Amino acid sequence: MEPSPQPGSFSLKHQRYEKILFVSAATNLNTHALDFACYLSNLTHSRLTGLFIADTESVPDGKTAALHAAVAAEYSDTAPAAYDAIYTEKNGIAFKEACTSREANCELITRQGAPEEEVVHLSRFADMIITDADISFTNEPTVLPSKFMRDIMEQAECPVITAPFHFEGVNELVFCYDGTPSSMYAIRQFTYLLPELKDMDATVVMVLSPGERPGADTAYLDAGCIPTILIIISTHCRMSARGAACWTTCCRNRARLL
Amino acid sequence: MKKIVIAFDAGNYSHGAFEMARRLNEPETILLTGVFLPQMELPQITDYTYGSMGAGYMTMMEQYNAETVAATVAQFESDCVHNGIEYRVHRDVTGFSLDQLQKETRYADLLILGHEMFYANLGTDHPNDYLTETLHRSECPVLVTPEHFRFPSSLILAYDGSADSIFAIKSFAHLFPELCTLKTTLIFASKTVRSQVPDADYIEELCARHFPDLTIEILQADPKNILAPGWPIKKTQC
Repeated sequence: MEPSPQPGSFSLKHQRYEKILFVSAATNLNTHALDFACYLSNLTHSRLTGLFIADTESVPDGKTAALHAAVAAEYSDTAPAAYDAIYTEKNGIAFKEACTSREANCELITRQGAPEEEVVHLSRFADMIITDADISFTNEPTVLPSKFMRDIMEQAECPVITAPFHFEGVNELVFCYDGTPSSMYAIRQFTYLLPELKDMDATVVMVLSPGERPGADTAYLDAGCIPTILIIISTHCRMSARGAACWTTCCRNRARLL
Repeated sequence: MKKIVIAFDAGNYSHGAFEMARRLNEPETILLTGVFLPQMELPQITDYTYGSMGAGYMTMMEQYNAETVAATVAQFESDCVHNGIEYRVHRDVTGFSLDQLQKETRYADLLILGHEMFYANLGTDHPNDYLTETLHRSECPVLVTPEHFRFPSSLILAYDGSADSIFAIKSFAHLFPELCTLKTTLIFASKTVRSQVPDADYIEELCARHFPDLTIEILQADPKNILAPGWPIKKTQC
Protein backbone atom coordinates (compact mmCIF):
# COMPACT_ATOMS: atom_id res chain seq x y z
CA MET A 1 0.00 0.00 0.00
CA GLU A 2 1.42 3.37 -0.98
CA PRO A 3 1.88 6.01 1.70
CA SER A 4 -0.53 8.90 1.71
CA PRO A 5 0.85 11.99 0.01
CA GLN A 6 1.90 14.89 2.17
CA PRO A 7 -0.32 17.98 2.21
CA GLY A 8 0.48 20.12 -0.81
CA SER A 9 2.04 17.26 -2.72
CA PHE A 10 0.93 14.29 -4.75
CA SER A 11 2.61 11.36 -6.40
CA LEU A 12 2.40 10.30 -10.01
CA LYS A 13 3.52 6.86 -11.05
CA HIS A 14 3.55 6.31 -14.78
CA GLN A 15 5.67 4.52 -17.29
CA ARG A 16 8.30 6.85 -18.70
CA TYR A 17 7.99 7.96 -22.29
CA GLU A 18 8.35 11.06 -24.38
CA LYS A 19 5.79 13.64 -25.23
CA ILE A 20 5.34 13.95 -28.99
CA LEU A 21 3.12 16.64 -30.44
CA PHE A 22 1.58 16.07 -33.83
CA VAL A 23 0.46 19.48 -35.06
CA SER A 24 -2.26 19.74 -37.66
CA ALA A 25 -4.76 22.24 -38.91
CA ALA A 26 -8.05 21.14 -37.43
CA THR A 27 -9.78 21.29 -40.78
CA ASN A 28 -6.99 19.75 -42.86
CA LEU A 29 -5.47 16.49 -41.63
CA ASN A 30 -2.37 15.30 -43.48
CA THR A 31 -2.50 11.50 -43.29
CA HIS A 32 1.04 11.06 -44.65
CA ALA A 33 2.44 13.14 -41.81
CA LEU A 34 0.27 11.24 -39.35
CA ASP A 35 1.65 7.98 -40.68
CA PHE A 36 5.17 9.18 -39.92
CA ALA A 37 4.16 10.47 -36.49
CA CYS A 38 2.65 7.09 -35.58
CA TYR A 39 5.88 5.41 -36.65
CA LEU A 40 7.97 7.58 -34.30
CA SER A 41 5.41 7.18 -31.54
CA ASN A 42 5.63 3.41 -31.74
CA LEU A 43 9.40 3.53 -32.11
CA THR A 44 9.82 5.49 -28.87
CA HIS A 45 6.90 3.85 -27.04
CA SER A 46 5.44 7.31 -26.56
CA ARG A 47 1.95 8.65 -26.57
CA LEU A 48 1.16 10.74 -29.61
CA THR A 49 -0.63 13.95 -28.73
CA GLY A 50 -2.59 15.30 -31.67
CA LEU A 51 -2.83 19.07 -31.51
CA PHE A 52 -5.60 20.25 -33.80
CA ILE A 53 -5.72 23.99 -34.15
CA ALA A 54 -8.51 26.07 -35.60
CA ASP A 55 -7.29 29.47 -36.69
CA THR A 56 -9.79 31.98 -35.34
CA GLU A 57 -7.50 34.97 -35.62
CA SER A 58 -6.83 35.45 -39.33
CA VAL A 59 -9.38 36.54 -41.93
CA PRO A 60 -10.50 33.67 -44.25
CA ASP A 61 -9.00 33.92 -47.71
CA GLY A 62 -10.93 33.47 -50.93
CA LYS A 63 -10.55 29.71 -51.18
CA THR A 64 -11.50 29.19 -47.57
CA ALA A 65 -14.62 31.24 -48.07
CA ALA A 66 -15.46 29.18 -51.16
CA LEU A 67 -14.95 26.00 -49.17
CA HIS A 68 -17.33 27.27 -46.54
CA ALA A 69 -19.90 27.91 -49.25
CA ALA A 70 -19.50 24.37 -50.61
CA VAL A 71 -19.96 22.86 -47.19
CA ALA A 72 -22.97 25.08 -46.62
CA ALA A 73 -24.58 23.49 -49.64
CA GLU A 74 -24.11 20.04 -48.16
CA TYR A 75 -25.11 20.98 -44.63
CA SER A 76 -27.84 23.49 -45.32
CA ASP A 77 -29.17 23.30 -41.80
CA THR A 78 -25.81 24.17 -40.26
CA ALA A 79 -24.77 27.66 -39.28
CA PRO A 80 -21.67 28.92 -41.14
CA ALA A 81 -19.77 29.28 -37.90
CA ALA A 82 -20.00 25.54 -37.33
CA TYR A 83 -18.43 24.48 -40.62
CA ASP A 84 -14.95 24.28 -39.18
CA ALA A 85 -16.30 22.36 -36.21
CA ILE A 86 -17.68 19.71 -38.54
CA TYR A 87 -14.32 19.22 -40.20
CA THR A 88 -12.56 19.29 -36.85
CA GLU A 89 -14.79 16.55 -35.53
CA LYS A 90 -14.37 14.41 -38.64
CA ASN A 91 -10.60 14.83 -38.59
CA GLY A 92 -10.50 14.06 -34.89
CA ILE A 93 -12.25 10.76 -35.52
CA ALA A 94 -9.95 10.04 -38.44
CA PHE A 95 -6.91 10.80 -36.25
CA LYS A 96 -7.97 8.39 -33.53
CA GLU A 97 -8.90 5.66 -36.01
CA ALA A 98 -5.57 6.05 -37.80
CA CYS A 99 -3.64 5.82 -34.51
CA THR A 100 -5.66 2.83 -33.37
CA SER A 101 -5.09 0.98 -36.63
CA ARG A 102 -1.36 1.64 -36.31
CA GLU A 103 -1.37 0.59 -32.64
CA ALA A 104 -0.17 4.03 -31.56
CA ASN A 105 -1.15 5.33 -28.14
CA CYS A 106 -2.78 8.69 -28.72
CA GLU A 107 -4.74 11.58 -27.30
CA LEU A 108 -6.31 14.56 -28.99
CA ILE A 109 -6.23 18.22 -28.03
CA THR A 110 -8.14 20.87 -29.95
CA ARG A 111 -7.39 24.55 -29.66
CA GLN A 112 -8.77 27.73 -31.13
CA GLY A 113 -6.79 30.90 -31.55
CA ALA A 114 -3.57 32.04 -33.18
CA PRO A 115 -1.83 28.83 -34.33
CA GLU A 116 1.75 30.06 -33.89
CA GLU A 117 1.17 31.18 -30.32
CA GLU A 118 -0.57 27.95 -29.35
CA VAL A 119 2.15 25.72 -30.80
CA VAL A 120 5.04 27.74 -29.40
CA HIS A 121 3.51 27.69 -25.94
CA LEU A 122 2.86 23.95 -25.99
CA SER A 123 6.28 23.23 -27.49
CA ARG A 124 7.80 24.34 -24.22
CA PHE A 125 6.28 21.28 -22.58
CA ALA A 126 6.94 18.80 -25.38
CA ASP A 127 9.94 16.70 -26.37
CA MET A 128 9.38 17.03 -30.07
CA ILE A 129 6.92 18.35 -32.64
CA ILE A 130 6.03 16.50 -35.80
CA THR A 131 4.24 18.26 -38.61
CA ASP A 132 4.33 18.53 -42.38
CA ALA A 133 6.24 21.11 -44.37
CA ASP A 134 3.20 22.51 -46.14
CA ILE A 135 0.99 22.84 -43.09
CA SER A 136 -1.14 25.91 -43.52
CA PHE A 137 -4.28 27.35 -42.05
CA THR A 138 -5.38 28.90 -45.29
CA ASN A 139 -6.09 27.41 -48.68
CA GLU A 140 -3.89 29.82 -50.56
CA PRO A 141 -0.92 28.36 -52.48
CA THR A 142 2.20 28.38 -50.35
CA VAL A 143 5.92 27.85 -50.79
CA LEU A 144 7.71 25.09 -48.94
CA PRO A 145 8.11 25.16 -46.07
CA SER A 146 4.97 27.15 -45.34
CA LYS A 147 5.10 30.40 -43.41
CA PHE A 148 3.60 28.70 -40.38
CA MET A 149 6.23 25.97 -40.55
CA ARG A 150 9.04 28.51 -40.82
CA ASP A 151 7.68 30.43 -37.86
CA ILE A 152 7.45 27.28 -35.78
CA MET A 153 10.96 26.18 -36.66
CA GLU A 154 12.26 29.56 -35.53
CA GLN A 155 10.26 29.92 -32.34
CA ALA A 156 9.52 26.42 -31.04
CA GLU A 157 11.16 25.44 -27.76
CA CYS A 158 11.63 21.80 -28.71
CA PRO A 159 12.96 20.04 -31.81
CA VAL A 160 10.65 20.13 -34.84
CA ILE A 161 10.63 17.17 -37.21
CA THR A 162 9.22 17.66 -40.68
CA ALA A 163 7.30 14.62 -41.85
CA PRO A 164 8.28 13.36 -45.31
CA PHE A 165 5.74 13.45 -48.10
CA HIS A 166 6.15 9.72 -48.63
CA PHE A 167 7.29 7.38 -45.92
CA GLU A 168 8.01 3.67 -45.81
CA GLY A 169 10.44 3.43 -42.91
CA VAL A 170 13.87 4.63 -41.79
CA ASN A 171 16.82 2.72 -43.22
CA GLU A 172 19.73 5.05 -42.59
CA LEU A 173 20.46 8.47 -41.12
CA VAL A 174 21.97 11.47 -42.87
CA PHE A 175 23.01 14.43 -40.75
CA CYS A 176 23.65 17.81 -42.34
CA TYR A 177 26.64 19.56 -40.82
CA ASP A 178 28.01 22.94 -41.82
CA GLY A 179 30.37 23.59 -38.92
CA THR A 180 27.95 25.81 -37.02
CA PRO A 181 26.93 25.28 -33.39
CA SER A 182 23.33 24.98 -34.59
CA SER A 183 24.04 22.03 -36.83
CA MET A 184 25.92 20.23 -34.06
CA TYR A 185 23.13 20.98 -31.61
CA ALA A 186 20.60 19.48 -34.01
CA ILE A 187 22.61 16.28 -34.33
CA ARG A 188 22.87 15.93 -30.56
CA GLN A 189 19.16 16.53 -30.05
CA PHE A 190 18.34 13.83 -32.57
CA THR A 191 20.47 11.28 -30.73
CA TYR A 192 18.76 12.09 -27.42
CA LEU A 193 15.24 11.92 -28.78
CA LEU A 194 15.59 8.86 -30.95
CA PRO A 195 18.20 6.61 -29.32
CA GLU A 196 16.36 3.65 -30.84
CA LEU A 197 18.00 4.55 -34.16
CA LYS A 198 21.53 4.63 -32.79
CA ASP A 199 22.60 1.37 -34.46
CA MET A 200 21.63 2.50 -37.95
CA ASP A 201 24.18 3.52 -40.54
CA ALA A 202 24.74 7.21 -40.03
CA THR A 203 26.34 9.66 -42.38
CA VAL A 204 27.40 13.20 -41.67
CA VAL A 205 27.32 15.31 -44.80
CA MET A 206 29.22 18.53 -45.20
CA VAL A 207 28.95 20.53 -48.40
CA LEU A 208 32.05 22.49 -49.38
CA SER A 209 32.84 24.85 -52.16
CA PRO A 210 35.43 23.74 -54.71
CA GLY A 211 38.88 24.07 -53.21
CA GLU A 212 37.58 24.55 -49.70
CA ARG A 213 39.02 22.25 -47.05
CA PRO A 214 37.09 20.96 -44.05
CA GLY A 215 37.94 22.75 -40.83
CA ALA A 216 39.83 21.15 -38.00
CA ASP A 217 36.58 20.94 -36.06
CA THR A 218 35.43 18.02 -38.18
CA ALA A 219 37.84 15.85 -36.20
CA TYR A 220 35.54 16.23 -33.21
CA LEU A 221 32.72 14.51 -35.07
CA ASP A 222 34.45 11.18 -35.13
CA ALA A 223 33.96 10.47 -31.45
CA GLY A 224 30.31 11.07 -30.76
CA CYS A 225 27.56 9.04 -29.22
CA ILE A 226 26.52 7.36 -32.45
CA PRO A 227 28.57 5.66 -35.15
CA THR A 228 29.36 8.27 -37.75
CA ILE A 229 30.84 8.16 -41.19
CA LEU A 230 32.14 11.49 -42.32
CA ILE A 231 31.58 12.35 -45.93
CA ILE A 232 32.97 15.52 -47.43
CA ILE A 233 31.50 16.25 -50.78
CA SER A 234 32.82 19.03 -52.95
CA THR A 235 30.15 20.43 -55.19
CA HIS A 236 29.46 23.45 -57.29
CA CYS A 237 25.99 23.62 -55.83
CA ARG A 238 25.08 25.74 -52.90
CA MET A 239 22.69 24.25 -50.36
CA SER A 240 19.68 25.16 -52.44
CA ALA A 241 17.17 22.59 -53.56
CA ARG A 242 19.60 21.70 -56.33
CA GLY A 243 22.43 21.34 -53.86
CA ALA A 244 20.36 19.20 -51.56
CA ALA A 245 19.48 16.93 -54.45
CA CYS A 246 23.15 16.74 -55.35
CA TRP A 247 24.37 15.52 -52.01
CA THR A 248 21.41 13.22 -51.60
CA THR A 249 22.38 11.53 -54.84
CA CYS A 250 25.95 11.30 -53.68
CA CYS A 251 24.86 9.68 -50.45
CA ARG A 252 22.83 7.14 -52.31
CA ASN A 253 25.88 6.25 -54.31
CA ARG A 254 27.78 5.90 -51.06
CA ALA A 255 30.49 8.23 -52.30
CA ARG A 256 32.94 8.71 -49.49
CA LEU A 257 35.53 11.37 -49.93
CA LEU A 258 37.38 12.27 -46.80
CA MET B 1 27.81 6.11 -25.77
CA LYS B 2 27.90 9.63 -24.43
CA LYS B 3 30.82 11.94 -24.99
CA ILE B 4 31.62 13.72 -21.76
CA VAL B 5 34.14 16.52 -21.38
CA ILE B 6 35.90 17.01 -18.08
CA ALA B 7 37.88 20.23 -17.73
CA PHE B 8 40.84 20.94 -15.51
CA ASP B 9 42.98 23.99 -15.24
CA ALA B 10 46.58 23.01 -14.93
CA GLY B 11 47.55 22.13 -11.41
CA ASN B 12 43.96 21.87 -10.14
CA TYR B 13 42.93 18.26 -10.66
CA SER B 14 39.41 17.62 -9.41
CA HIS B 15 38.96 14.13 -7.97
CA GLY B 16 35.30 14.90 -7.40
CA ALA B 17 34.71 15.62 -11.07
CA PHE B 18 36.47 12.45 -12.09
CA GLU B 19 34.51 10.42 -9.55
CA MET B 20 31.27 11.67 -11.11
CA ALA B 21 32.53 10.63 -14.55
CA ARG B 22 33.45 7.22 -13.18
CA ARG B 23 29.97 6.70 -11.78
CA LEU B 24 28.34 7.82 -15.01
CA ASN B 25 30.46 5.25 -16.84
CA GLU B 26 28.89 2.39 -14.88
CA PRO B 27 25.39 2.14 -16.39
CA GLU B 28 26.60 3.00 -19.88
CA THR B 29 30.16 3.37 -21.09
CA ILE B 30 31.24 6.90 -21.93
CA LEU B 31 33.96 8.55 -23.91
CA LEU B 32 35.71 10.89 -21.50
CA THR B 33 37.64 13.78 -22.98
CA GLY B 34 39.99 15.54 -20.62
CA VAL B 35 40.49 19.19 -21.50
CA PHE B 36 43.50 20.80 -19.88
CA LEU B 37 43.38 24.55 -19.73
CA PRO B 38 46.20 26.98 -19.04
CA GLN B 39 46.70 28.17 -15.52
CA MET B 40 45.46 31.68 -14.79
CA GLU B 41 47.68 33.96 -12.78
CA LEU B 42 47.61 37.54 -11.63
CA PRO B 43 50.18 39.57 -13.56
CA GLN B 44 53.53 40.18 -12.03
CA ILE B 45 53.32 43.86 -12.90
CA THR B 46 50.55 45.49 -10.89
CA ASP B 47 49.92 48.56 -13.06
CA TYR B 48 47.92 46.71 -15.72
CA THR B 49 44.76 48.64 -16.44
CA TYR B 50 42.07 47.92 -18.92
CA GLY B 51 40.67 50.84 -20.91
CA SER B 52 37.50 52.34 -19.52
CA MET B 53 37.22 49.75 -16.79
CA GLY B 54 39.24 52.06 -14.64
CA ALA B 55 42.48 51.94 -12.75
CA GLY B 56 43.10 48.89 -10.68
CA TYR B 57 41.31 46.48 -13.04
CA MET B 58 43.99 43.93 -13.68
CA THR B 59 44.00 41.59 -16.63
CA MET B 60 44.67 37.93 -16.03
CA MET B 61 47.62 36.23 -17.60
CA GLU B 62 47.23 32.77 -19.03
CA GLN B 63 50.28 30.68 -18.35
CA TYR B 64 50.90 27.26 -19.75
CA ASN B 65 53.31 25.39 -17.56
CA ALA B 66 54.17 22.23 -19.47
CA GLU B 67 55.37 20.34 -16.42
CA THR B 68 52.29 21.12 -14.37
CA VAL B 69 49.96 20.18 -17.20
CA ALA B 70 51.87 16.98 -17.84
CA ALA B 71 51.42 15.93 -14.23
CA THR B 72 47.69 16.62 -14.39
CA VAL B 73 47.34 14.72 -17.65
CA ALA B 74 49.25 11.79 -16.21
CA GLN B 75 46.90 11.68 -13.23
CA PHE B 76 43.88 11.77 -15.55
CA GLU B 77 45.22 9.03 -17.81
CA SER B 78 46.10 6.85 -14.87
CA ASP B 79 42.61 7.20 -13.39
CA CYS B 80 40.97 6.42 -16.73
CA VAL B 81 43.08 3.32 -17.30
CA HIS B 82 42.57 2.12 -13.74
CA ASN B 83 38.78 2.45 -14.06
CA GLY B 84 38.49 1.16 -17.61
CA ILE B 85 37.21 4.41 -19.10
CA GLU B 86 37.82 5.19 -22.76
CA TYR B 87 39.40 8.61 -22.90
CA ARG B 88 40.97 11.33 -25.01
CA VAL B 89 43.28 14.17 -24.01
CA HIS B 90 42.91 17.65 -25.49
CA ARG B 91 45.45 20.32 -24.59
CA ASP B 92 45.31 22.88 -27.33
CA VAL B 93 47.10 25.94 -26.02
CA THR B 94 46.81 28.05 -29.13
CA GLY B 95 43.62 29.82 -28.14
CA PHE B 96 42.13 31.51 -25.14
CA SER B 97 41.07 28.93 -22.61
CA LEU B 98 37.35 29.68 -22.44
CA ASP B 99 37.08 29.89 -26.21
CA GLN B 100 38.66 26.49 -26.41
CA LEU B 101 36.41 25.07 -23.73
CA GLN B 102 33.32 26.47 -25.46
CA LYS B 103 34.25 24.68 -28.65
CA GLU B 104 34.77 21.45 -26.72
CA THR B 105 31.28 21.70 -25.26
CA ARG B 106 29.82 22.15 -28.74
CA TYR B 107 30.88 18.61 -29.55
CA ALA B 108 30.03 17.02 -26.21
CA ASP B 109 26.93 15.75 -24.47
CA LEU B 110 27.99 16.90 -21.03
CA LEU B 111 30.67 18.98 -19.30
CA ILE B 112 31.76 18.07 -15.78
CA LEU B 113 33.46 20.66 -13.59
CA GLY B 114 34.71 20.38 -10.05
CA HIS B 115 33.64 23.75 -8.73
CA GLU B 116 35.95 23.69 -5.73
CA MET B 117 39.02 23.21 -7.89
CA PHE B 118 38.22 24.99 -11.14
CA TYR B 119 40.57 27.96 -11.17
CA ALA B 120 40.57 27.80 -7.40
CA ASN B 121 43.56 30.12 -7.27
CA LEU B 122 41.47 33.05 -8.54
CA GLY B 123 39.78 33.77 -5.23
CA THR B 124 37.41 32.35 -2.71
CA ASP B 125 34.11 33.36 -4.31
CA HIS B 126 31.88 30.43 -5.30
CA PRO B 127 31.29 30.30 -8.13
CA ASN B 128 34.31 32.28 -9.26
CA ASP B 129 34.21 34.43 -12.40
CA TYR B 130 35.69 31.75 -14.61
CA LEU B 131 33.18 29.14 -13.49
CA THR B 132 30.32 31.59 -14.00
CA GLU B 133 31.58 32.49 -17.45
CA THR B 134 31.95 28.81 -18.34
CA LEU B 135 28.38 28.10 -17.30
CA HIS B 136 27.14 30.93 -19.50
CA ARG B 137 29.13 29.98 -22.56
CA SER B 138 28.82 26.22 -22.47
CA GLU B 139 26.91 24.75 -25.41
CA CYS B 140 26.01 21.55 -23.59
CA PRO B 141 24.64 20.83 -20.09
CA VAL B 142 27.14 21.29 -17.27
CA LEU B 143 27.37 19.08 -14.20
CA VAL B 144 29.06 20.94 -11.34
CA THR B 145 30.34 18.62 -8.63
CA PRO B 146 31.90 19.10 -5.21
CA GLU B 147 35.05 17.20 -4.28
CA HIS B 148 33.24 14.90 -1.85
CA PHE B 149 29.72 13.69 -2.54
CA ARG B 150 27.41 10.73 -2.54
CA PHE B 151 26.06 9.71 -5.92
CA PRO B 152 22.44 10.88 -6.24
CA SER B 153 19.79 8.55 -4.86
CA SER B 154 16.94 10.99 -5.55
CA LEU B 155 16.34 13.95 -7.82
CA ILE B 156 15.13 17.50 -7.24
CA LEU B 157 13.87 19.40 -10.27
CA ALA B 158 13.74 23.16 -9.76
CA TYR B 159 10.88 24.83 -11.62
CA ASP B 160 10.04 28.53 -11.60
CA GLY B 161 7.68 28.64 -14.56
CA SER B 162 10.32 29.93 -16.95
CA ALA B 163 11.25 28.45 -20.30
CA ASP B 164 14.80 28.00 -19.03
CA SER B 165 13.78 25.78 -16.16
CA ILE B 166 11.70 23.55 -18.44
CA PHE B 167 14.55 23.33 -20.93
CA ALA B 168 16.86 22.21 -18.13
CA ILE B 169 14.41 19.52 -17.00
CA LYS B 170 14.02 18.20 -20.53
CA SER B 171 17.78 18.21 -21.08
CA PHE B 172 18.30 16.21 -17.90
CA ALA B 173 15.67 13.66 -18.90
CA HIS B 174 17.16 13.22 -22.35
CA LEU B 175 20.74 13.01 -21.09
CA PHE B 176 20.26 10.78 -18.04
CA PRO B 177 17.37 8.42 -18.75
CA GLU B 178 18.92 5.87 -16.40
CA LEU B 179 18.57 8.30 -13.48
CA CYS B 180 14.97 9.24 -14.22
CA THR B 181 13.65 6.23 -12.33
CA LEU B 182 14.93 7.65 -9.03
CA LYS B 183 12.52 9.22 -6.60
CA THR B 184 11.96 12.69 -8.03
CA THR B 185 10.59 15.88 -6.52
CA LEU B 186 9.58 18.81 -8.68
CA ILE B 187 9.86 21.95 -6.61
CA PHE B 188 8.17 25.17 -7.52
CA ALA B 189 9.19 28.19 -5.50
CA SER B 190 8.32 31.83 -5.80
CA LYS B 191 8.87 34.88 -3.64
CA THR B 192 5.36 36.04 -4.44
CA VAL B 193 2.35 34.22 -3.05
CA ARG B 194 0.81 32.04 -5.73
CA SER B 195 -2.22 29.85 -5.47
CA GLN B 196 -0.95 27.38 -8.05
CA VAL B 197 2.02 26.42 -10.16
CA PRO B 198 2.19 28.22 -13.54
CA ASP B 199 1.16 25.90 -16.36
CA ALA B 200 0.67 23.20 -13.73
CA ASP B 201 -1.07 20.72 -16.00
CA TYR B 202 1.58 20.97 -18.68
CA ILE B 203 4.64 20.64 -16.45
CA GLU B 204 3.01 17.79 -14.55
CA GLU B 205 2.23 15.98 -17.79
CA LEU B 206 5.74 16.46 -19.15
CA CYS B 207 7.56 15.42 -16.00
CA ALA B 208 5.30 12.46 -15.32
CA ARG B 209 6.24 11.01 -18.68
CA HIS B 210 9.94 11.12 -17.93
CA PHE B 211 10.05 10.58 -14.17
CA PRO B 212 7.88 7.65 -13.09
CA ASP B 213 8.26 8.30 -9.35
CA LEU B 214 7.33 11.96 -9.24
CA THR B 215 6.22 14.21 -6.42
CA ILE B 216 5.36 17.87 -6.82
CA GLU B 217 6.04 20.34 -4.03
CA ILE B 218 4.90 23.94 -3.88
CA LEU B 219 6.93 26.13 -1.56
CA GLN B 220 6.57 29.77 -0.76
CA ALA B 221 10.15 30.92 -0.42
CA ASP B 222 12.90 32.79 -2.15
CA PRO B 223 14.16 30.46 -4.89
CA LYS B 224 17.74 31.55 -4.23
CA ASN B 225 17.59 30.13 -0.74
CA ILE B 226 15.45 27.10 -1.30
CA LEU B 227 18.24 24.66 -2.04
CA ALA B 228 20.57 26.05 0.57
CA PRO B 229 21.94 23.64 3.17
CA GLY B 230 19.49 23.03 5.94
CA TRP B 231 16.36 23.67 3.93
CA PRO B 232 13.58 21.46 5.28
CA ILE B 233 12.97 19.87 1.89
CA LYS B 234 15.78 17.48 2.76
CA LYS B 235 13.72 16.10 5.61
CA THR B 236 10.67 15.48 3.47
CA GLN B 237 12.71 13.56 0.93
CA CYS B 238 13.26 10.56 3.16
